[in-house]
Amino acid sequence: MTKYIIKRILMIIPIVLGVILILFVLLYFLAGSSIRQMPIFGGGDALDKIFTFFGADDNFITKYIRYCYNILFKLDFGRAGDIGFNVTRELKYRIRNTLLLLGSGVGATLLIGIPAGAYAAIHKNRIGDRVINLVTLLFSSIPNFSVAFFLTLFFAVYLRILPVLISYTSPKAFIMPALTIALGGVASIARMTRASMLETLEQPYIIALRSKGLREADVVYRHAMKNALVPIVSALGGLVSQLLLGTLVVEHFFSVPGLGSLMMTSVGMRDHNTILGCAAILTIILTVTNIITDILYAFINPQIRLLYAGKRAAYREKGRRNEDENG
Amino acid sequence: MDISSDILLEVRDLDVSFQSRQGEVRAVNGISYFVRRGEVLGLVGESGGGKSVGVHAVMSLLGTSARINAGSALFEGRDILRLTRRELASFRGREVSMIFQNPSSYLDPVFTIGRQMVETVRAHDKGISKESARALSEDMLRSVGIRDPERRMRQYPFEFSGGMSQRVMIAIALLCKPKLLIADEPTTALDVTTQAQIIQLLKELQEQSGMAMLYITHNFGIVAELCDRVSVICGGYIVEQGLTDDIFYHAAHPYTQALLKLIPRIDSPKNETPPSIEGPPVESVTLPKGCIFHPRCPCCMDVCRQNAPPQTALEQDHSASCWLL
Amino acid sequence: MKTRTADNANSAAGLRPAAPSSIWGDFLRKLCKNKTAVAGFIVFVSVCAACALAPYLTKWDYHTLDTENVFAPPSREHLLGTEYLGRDILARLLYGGRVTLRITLVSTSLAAVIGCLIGLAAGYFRGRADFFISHLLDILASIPVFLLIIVTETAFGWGRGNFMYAMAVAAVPQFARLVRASVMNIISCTYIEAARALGVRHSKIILRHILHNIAPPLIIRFTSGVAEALIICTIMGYLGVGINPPTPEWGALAFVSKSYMRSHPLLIILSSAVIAVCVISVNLFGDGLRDALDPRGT
Repeated sequence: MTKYIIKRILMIIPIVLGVILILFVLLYFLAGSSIRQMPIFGGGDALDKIFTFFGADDNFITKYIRYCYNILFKLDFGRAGDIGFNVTRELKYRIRNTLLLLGSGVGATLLIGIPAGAYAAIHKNRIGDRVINLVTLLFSSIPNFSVAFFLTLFFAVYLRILPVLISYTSPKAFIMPALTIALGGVASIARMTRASMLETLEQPYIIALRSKGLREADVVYRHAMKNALVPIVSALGGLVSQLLLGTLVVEHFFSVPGLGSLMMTSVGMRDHNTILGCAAILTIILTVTNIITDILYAFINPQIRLLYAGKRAAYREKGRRNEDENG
Repeated sequence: MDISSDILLEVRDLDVSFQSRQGEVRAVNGISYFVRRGEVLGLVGESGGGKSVGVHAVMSLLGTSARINAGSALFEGRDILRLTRRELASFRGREVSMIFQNPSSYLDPVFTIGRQMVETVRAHDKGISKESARALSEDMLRSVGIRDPERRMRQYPFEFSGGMSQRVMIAIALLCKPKLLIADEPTTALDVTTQAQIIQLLKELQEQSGMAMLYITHNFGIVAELCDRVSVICGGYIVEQGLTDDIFYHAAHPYTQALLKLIPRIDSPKNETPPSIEGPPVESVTLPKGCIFHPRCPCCMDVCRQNAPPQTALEQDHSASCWLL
Repeated sequence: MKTRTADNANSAAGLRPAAPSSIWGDFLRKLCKNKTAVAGFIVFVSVCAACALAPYLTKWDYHTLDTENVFAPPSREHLLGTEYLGRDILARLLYGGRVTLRITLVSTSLAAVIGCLIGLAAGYFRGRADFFISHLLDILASIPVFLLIIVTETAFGWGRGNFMYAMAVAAVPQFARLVRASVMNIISCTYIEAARALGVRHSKIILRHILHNIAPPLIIRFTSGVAEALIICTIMGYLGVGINPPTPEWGALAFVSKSYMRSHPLLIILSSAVIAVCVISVNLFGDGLRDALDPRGT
């Protein structure tokens, strides 16, 4: 298992370099004009010299290799627009905000979506099921900025119980952003949980569990729930990528300095290094999420866990089994 | 001991139907059977004949689309169709246990065998410690013929073959020493060799513990091996019941006779196509009027098409429902 | 499931599953019975029609400023009032709908067509092309949609047209993967094998047999694709990607009105509502389609 995880973590490097290559090609050959063409710089020899000094005029391959080398061995994302502020420091400062928002959003999605879906499945076709279906459909149909707007209006302006500005000292400040990010994902998670739970409750082993005298609560919440979570865990990776869009909106709406807002401003400035840095970090976040998803999946699904434990162990097991059968 | 307390489970006039898109499906139409203490009753019939439903209904294991229209099931004098949820939970598994057709799909795939056994013990005996529950489970696994139970307890169901899973199911079912074991075609999904081993095991366990057993099957070979008495079920009706010997040598109902003819014989001529009962099995949505078997019966009379035959007692414990009698 | 078994039964004889006309007739009948689906369809089509007929529905256009008349409440003159520059809200909503809906529908259709071709090629011909395509699709699908849109936009230049193409590119993988999977599923059926053995040409097999069978999942995917694209398009508009002022776009409208949301929340409420109505109606219609096309039926 440890070996497998290390292998997966090492796989992040080629994936990130690949994504950077694609973006690098797009930005270098197509976007063309970089920050130096902006009218505020005017022109002149002195400026050209500065750009040349910082390597802005090197050819594509040199630039790409230097960029990758700096990321890999120095953790250095270069300077904004080749000559500006230190992108690495900016990223470091902003990763925390984005991760906090994204994490609380994912947490809220699961905390709301899974119980709602399970409740709907257990009360299939009754009022509770219909209400949950309707409410989740409604929330998944409203864009995040509208959700943020209505939440702000209600909790901050009307009730005055939640602050509008993010601050790390009060977890209350994260309620509205987390809800805003979550509401798009809640519908899909709730639907998935409902379908998976309904399918699980029809499995034969549920009958067997009842027949051996377990209480209904144990059957549903311990056995059925754990089985129903298996497909949901494998959908987590997609969920995080879906919620990133919401995070972007929330950073914008609640004025949080995060990766998304940094990226939006640097896109406006044609600031390639910053765009690339943000994209690299976002890709790493997604890849790491996928690894965590796989580990969780293995944790919840014993069959996969044993598969990872190594082929040799599996063969040994098979040998033992045959021996049992014959004995 | 008087006769009435000799009877462990008595099912009377059980009537079960399912709601479906085509309308009401009548799965079981007023069947009655009983199981005495320590005896093995075989419930025999074709697939779709209502054997499983008639037994699952007794354990209140049918889904929401099923409805029990009438009938009672007295277990030691208590009507188990009318238990509360809590009573039902403590009844199932302790008084009556069940094993099923496809063993590997009846074990929860994401819990170890050990946990599934320990939780069963502790569900019925709240005071027992985890360690003694484990010890009890290991003993039980050993007694169903699983070697190295300590290691096997830590494994998951998918690491067990079909025959081994069925042994585990049996072990779980017997953990709380039930008075009755219901076996719902437990060997149908297994290969012939394993089948024989499992039947042998069930026979030994039943004789050792003296529990009663209700064995559902479509295979008369198993009946001959295992059962004291037989009830033959067709289209949701019990058409004949009696001691195993009576059924085998003096089958009264044409349906039973037809089923008996299906047993492959070692002396049957080669290249002969395997026998089968002529005609389609009963459609539960549109039950035929009169006798349930008349559309396929070789000796069908006018009266069979009009009226359902009454039950006729033939010998002690042997009765059949047919106009011929 | 039912069709699958029917397929298998027929495929033994090398037949096509069933006469297509009856399938589609059956489907339409089922769909018309589903009231919420019909309602969703009618609402969405009428919103589209209202936006398309904007010039006939309102005498105002979306860019004339009227600084005398800022934040006017609804009146006979301005049915929904005016916003912070005195422009008519109704006109801006209707003209904004033209932009949003056109981008949404065109980009999703484009993605469907391209995805369909790619998926067909990968699924039908397999081999090295399939290997290459499916890996490329996997990579594309693992990049967040907004990243793809923003970078494509930056690379090809800002503008409504490029924004549309970027949205289409971002949506292609979903269609292509779906089509590829369905094609591979169908192609393993014996009736296609039979057709191949009889010497039917590739183009004919694809047109006649495969397209018929992949149409249902494709239609369902298309409706949910439209709903997703609507949300993404308005969010991008809100963030200011692709649409430049004074072009009205529902998300962009919401963005401008955010600054005045405490004193004059009408515009942000209206734009949110109109987006929500469109997405919900498309989703309801899609749910109805799925129920009607699902061979298991209800």
